[in-house]
Amino acid sequence: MAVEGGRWGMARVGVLAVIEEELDAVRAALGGQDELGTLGYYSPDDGRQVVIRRCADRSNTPATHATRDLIEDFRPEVLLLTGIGGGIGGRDAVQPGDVVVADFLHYADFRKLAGERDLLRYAPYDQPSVSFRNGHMEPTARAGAWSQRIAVAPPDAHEPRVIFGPVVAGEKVLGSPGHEAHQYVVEEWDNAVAVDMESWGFARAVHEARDSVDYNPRLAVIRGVSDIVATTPEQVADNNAQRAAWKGYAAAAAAAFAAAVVERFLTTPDPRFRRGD
Amino acid sequence: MRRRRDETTALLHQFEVEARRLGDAAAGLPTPPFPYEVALRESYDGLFADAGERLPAATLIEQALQKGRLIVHGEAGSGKTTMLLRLFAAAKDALPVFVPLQLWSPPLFDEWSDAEGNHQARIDLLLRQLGRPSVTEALLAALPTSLPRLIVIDGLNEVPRSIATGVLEAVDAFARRNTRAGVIVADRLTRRELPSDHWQIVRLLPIDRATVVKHLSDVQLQGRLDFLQRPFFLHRAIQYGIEAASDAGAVGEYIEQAVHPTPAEFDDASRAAFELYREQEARTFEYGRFAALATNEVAEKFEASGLLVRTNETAHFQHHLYHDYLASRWLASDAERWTRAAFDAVSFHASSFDALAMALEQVNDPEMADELILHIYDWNFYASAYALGKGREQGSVAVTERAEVALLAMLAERRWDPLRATAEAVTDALHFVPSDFARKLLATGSVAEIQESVAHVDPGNGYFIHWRILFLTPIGAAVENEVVELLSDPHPLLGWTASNVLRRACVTEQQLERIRGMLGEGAEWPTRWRAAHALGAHPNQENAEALRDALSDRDEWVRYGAIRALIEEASRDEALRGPIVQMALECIDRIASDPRTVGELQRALVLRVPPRGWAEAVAPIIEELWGRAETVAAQDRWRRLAYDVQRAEAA
Repeated sequence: MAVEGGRWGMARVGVLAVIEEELDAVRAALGGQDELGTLGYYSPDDGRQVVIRRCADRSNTPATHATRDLIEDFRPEVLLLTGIGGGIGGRDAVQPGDVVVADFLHYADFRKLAGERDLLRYAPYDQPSVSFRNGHMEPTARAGAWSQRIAVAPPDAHEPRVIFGPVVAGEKVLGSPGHEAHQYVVEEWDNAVAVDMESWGFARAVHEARDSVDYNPRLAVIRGVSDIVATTPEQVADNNAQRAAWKGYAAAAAAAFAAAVVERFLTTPDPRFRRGD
Repeated sequence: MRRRRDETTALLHQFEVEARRLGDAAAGLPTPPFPYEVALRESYDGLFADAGERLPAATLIEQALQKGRLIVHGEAGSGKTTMLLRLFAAAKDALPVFVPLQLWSPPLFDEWSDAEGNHQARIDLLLRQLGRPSVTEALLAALPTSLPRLIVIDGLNEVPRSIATGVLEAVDAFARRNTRAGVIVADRLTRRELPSDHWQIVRLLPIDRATVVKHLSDVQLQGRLDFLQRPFFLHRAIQYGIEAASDAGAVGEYIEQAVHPTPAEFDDASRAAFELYREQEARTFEYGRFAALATNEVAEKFEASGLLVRTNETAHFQHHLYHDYLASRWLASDAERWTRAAFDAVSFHASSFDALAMALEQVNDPEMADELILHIYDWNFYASAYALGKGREQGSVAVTERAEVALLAMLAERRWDPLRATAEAVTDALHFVPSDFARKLLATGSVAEIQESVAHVDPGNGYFIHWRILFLTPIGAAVENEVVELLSDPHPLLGWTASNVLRRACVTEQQLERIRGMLGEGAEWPTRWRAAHALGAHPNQENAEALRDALSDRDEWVRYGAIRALIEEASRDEALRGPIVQMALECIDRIASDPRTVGELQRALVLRVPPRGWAEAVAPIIEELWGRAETVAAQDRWRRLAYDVQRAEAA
């Protein structure tokens, strides 16, 4: 079956990072030190299998744009969003330094404010691929060797775990969510394990791209936990300090796990026809 | 399978037929064919320069397929359509679809509006209703992938601005989905908000001088070398001996030659052209309506000449400059017609200014020309610079040098406007005017330097003396009460200059109280608007409250001015920022219900030099409006705004 490639090539895996530390961690873990021309992509293999890109900024809108670009340029078979996120205290004993893999994505912020009422609305977006999780992510987590790739030492002694659970994507349109936003999330989604600010934009762009029989991308979201979200004003200062301390390690842990998954995935045959191969 | 093969074969055949037909049309295009050249631009900041490496227009196909979408900007008469038709006919190794937006007609508005947020439906509307051949995206996808698809969309300036924005978004989404496709969009010389970074901006360059000189003798050129670098006019000079050296002059001369209208018939056609713009807001109309307005005889004459193209019951002028000229002729002939509504009609709500430029050309009395240009300035400053610039380039307008100095100085002062969009638009506008004074103003580094330039201009006599004295009021100086009273002066030049002077002056509390009073219901709408503008530079609680109250004004332009000024006050005064944001939240229903106010709020929030913490401070306003959005598409607009606000602060 012929598959239409992207404008610049056809990669098997597209990896999206958000902040600079996340990009550095992913490039280090995957070996993507070389930039592909001047396109803003990095790859360990000249774009033949893996391409890495950074969002222009935090939040869902830049994540949507970057994902759209990644899909248009390389039509990856699998898309990974990797980086840091906030853990929700008391859920699956999540700690800073753990890696959360989303098995479901919730979007907290499509609501209709109508007078006194705050009504939920819905917008279509993709969910993390079950087959990819079952086939590659869970076996990688079980094998355990992935943690040996973490290139940064944790600020405190920690044995990183991989936790599969729901992630809530928030949308503070400007700035960072405050403790009130997190309080709302914690109460409304009582089994979510982590929060972030980009996975909805990412998943939405993947969903939009699913418009032909020839292109069936799968997505996964991998978050290294940098802090436990503050839900009261008293927790905010500690939370900020915790994030500052764990950010580097969390990014590296997420990248290490992503790299292990990608390595495993690439051992499977490429089911697509390649243009020119 | 066989049925699908048959359908594919049929569609491929249809493409060949259409390409051949358009190729034949291309063969009927002006001869000799001129060598079109383009220049690639990194950003809109370089758009207006003629400089840059000249590349053959044929390179656009490869560029379009590489980037997915190009936007080609060129002046009226620069040959965009002809160039695109030639590209279309030459695209032998692609599946080309030509979409002439000139054929956009009012019945399409409803279907377009219903498809808001659905880019796929919108691109299908364009391809199906206007495309040659008529196709859909699904049909294109079903064809062999070995052939890239080339979509050529001509005349983005032919549709209202809101439609144009939607076209760009739909094209962007189409290009994302179809990596074996390229889209070329043709537009006038105007800055557009492009939906993504993938777009390549292209400037269609004037025909090079050597080509012009090759076709015409010195006698025929008559010193019109610059003017004839636009193919529309060069062709008519070569083929028909047109001698005029300006847009209105040449088009008028050509219509005389081609149609031979009597003076009365010319007037009838002009009135009809104007009324059709006013009624339809489109370049396509019902033939019967034109005939009813202009008489059957006039309609038949224009059709017989080829200037009016009729397809069954619809019609359009063969080139929009004919329609623009006729409408401008009607507009120019009576100063009573120089109203905001008329300017909106002939410009498609400030989307295209050629008709206004031609109207200005046809006002021969300097005093009346000054009046017209100032009326245009009052309505839209960008349009006034465009019209003046066009006329000065061709030496075809009677606007006095003094009016030009005043207009340009007032424009230049706004290079330091707090709103980024205004500062950019003003800079673009100044680039239109090919005068030393305009260039000097672009090079100035402050309002004081602008004043210095104005001070060297001979004041002459009349209103200009008063204007100059007013404009040269030292920055930060105290002003007399009579300056405040000038806010209500019927002369827009004096009224708006007074507003700007008050912004940069040291104003007493009594004077501010008087200005707030002029913002009240008793004054005329221009006075109230000018008062709002003046208050924006003087942040305090009373002024903010007055501006808040003005958000309920009965005039949309006053409301527009009030929201802008309110946001400006918030940007200037950190202590007042929170209370102003709270005021805006309390009025959010009022703001949200008025499209012009909401639009201006969106522009006002993106500052040229945002203060620290600006994004965080105004976040509640954006989030509130975002939370009220009914659709994801509407939410997306607020998300994009938030992103722009954030990026402006980070820059």
